[in-house]
Amino acid sequence: MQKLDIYRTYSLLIATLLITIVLSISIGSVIIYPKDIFFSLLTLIPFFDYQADISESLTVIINQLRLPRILLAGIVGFSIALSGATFQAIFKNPLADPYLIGAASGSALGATIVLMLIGPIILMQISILPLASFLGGVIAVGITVMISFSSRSMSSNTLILSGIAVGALANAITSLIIISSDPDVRPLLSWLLGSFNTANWDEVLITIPYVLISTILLFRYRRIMNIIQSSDSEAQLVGVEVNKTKYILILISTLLTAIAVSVSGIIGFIGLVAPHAVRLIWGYDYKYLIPFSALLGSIILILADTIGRTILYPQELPVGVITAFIGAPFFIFLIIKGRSSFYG
Amino acid sequence: MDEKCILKINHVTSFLGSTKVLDNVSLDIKPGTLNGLIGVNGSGKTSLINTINGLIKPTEGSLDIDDLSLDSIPDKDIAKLIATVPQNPTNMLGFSCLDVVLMGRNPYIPIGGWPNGSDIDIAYQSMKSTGVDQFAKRTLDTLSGGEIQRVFIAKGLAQGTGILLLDEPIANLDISYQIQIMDILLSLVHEQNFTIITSLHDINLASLYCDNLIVIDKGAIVKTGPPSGIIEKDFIQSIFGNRLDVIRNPEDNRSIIIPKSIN
Repeated sequence: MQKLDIYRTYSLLIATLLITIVLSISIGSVIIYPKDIFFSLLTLIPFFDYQADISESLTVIINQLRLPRILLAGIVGFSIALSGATFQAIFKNPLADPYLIGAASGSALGATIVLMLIGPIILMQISILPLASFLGGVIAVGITVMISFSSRSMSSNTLILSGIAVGALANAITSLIIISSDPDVRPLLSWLLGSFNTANWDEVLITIPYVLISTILLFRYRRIMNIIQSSDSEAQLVGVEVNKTKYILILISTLLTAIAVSVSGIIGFIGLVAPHAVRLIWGYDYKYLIPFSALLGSIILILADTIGRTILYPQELPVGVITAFIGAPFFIFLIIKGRSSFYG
Repeated sequence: MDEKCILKINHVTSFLGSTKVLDNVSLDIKPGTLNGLIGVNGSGKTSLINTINGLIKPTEGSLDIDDLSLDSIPDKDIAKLIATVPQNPTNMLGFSCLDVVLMGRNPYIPIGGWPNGSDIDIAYQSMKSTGVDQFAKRTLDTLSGGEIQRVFIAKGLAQGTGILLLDEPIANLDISYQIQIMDILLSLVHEQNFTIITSLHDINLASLYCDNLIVIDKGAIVKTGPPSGIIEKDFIQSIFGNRLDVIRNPEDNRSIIIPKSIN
């Protein structure tokens, strides 16, 4: 890409993201004007002590209900898209979505087990759930990779097939745990369906450091991700420590998936749709694929959640339903268009 | 052993899985020479190349580069000493030739870093050496087979090594492109003092261009030396079968191999 195109694309994506955020804050049970959003947001600035000239209920809707929910959707979309793009780089497989290789289902299982064990102790959940998810996700991805490596026909489809099998098993165990659980605890697990309706500032704040650190680490590997798109031996011949690199990248992208799952449950297809859209528009270079996918994932998920909470108002559709409506046809389009036109 | 060797292979045996692919191989390669590796399919040409570049770790024996033992060199630093152009390099879809050649600079760039101006200069210099600098901004899928091969040779040159290994660089190319690639290899040896080991199927091209031929059979080296001593009817037939004849080209008195018809 030319320098000018790069700046233009970054500006376009960031501007779209900001517009999406403002749009999403204003749409809902109460329509809010951008002017009020602006004044309401000013009150959030610490030590500024700004008194907005708007009703308190409006400030609560903006600052405590919609904003954290939108930010959380943005962070989750960012993480899943980043994680998806990285999995695709590691496995050289454009279908390696966090939900297709078992990472998300494993994370959900890890989180469910811990939720069952500690019960409704909210504060503890928030701090422990990401780690439990991470552990579950790493184990699931580990099993997936092991199965596909031990298979005689080591095609890239083996990875997806074993991922689907591991994911289905993890989902089954999760369901079993939920069904045999105390009915009082069951509502706690509604988050599994993929929803942001319980989003709060605590969740936003706990995810930010994980996502920030993972993003910084992944960004450092963008050049190496390009190199490992050749064969493992070709990458080693130019001095890349291939296995070590892959393990590091698997850990980071599983962590990103786990963080997303621990606050929002299972939301499919973003990890597939965002990187693919970026590839179709801006090409294959991971230097740009990584940041553009993350920003686009953010935008798509905020939009999807906004649609989900408004389209059938006062009913709310889980965001996972909306992403499936966008993602499934896209996935079918990819299958029909054929692998060959996406990767060599 | 008066002359200094850039690469010494001492009694190397290596396995691929449970198959012995190299059997007690010893070889001395002199700097600034073009060495052709010949032998039938499955004789161990690729295994020898991949043992030299560290992809296959030998179970016995040792390799020394510039008197340094290969065991003691980390992978990243081997890539600064030996560059390899594999047999079928991955066609990096969507990447420009410059991007691909710059990947050869990886051993000199830290993980979070990007190629700097001098890396880009070296990449252009490498592409100039193989005559593909005008394709720098084009993607590989817009180039012909011969041009793609030259891009991958340029990637190898960009690694800034003294030794260049090539695995069948002219397989699948038309004869005119085969000659073009061999001319490039020869000029790299003569003008930039590269030491090159390349496996070749075409024995005539090998004997025409190479200073030395290395004949490998069933994982063992059967003969090495200047082409004149290798291209002899009895010896060639013992390796490649008796449906071959060795005749003399009246123009330059070189021995050439021709297939023999059944009639």
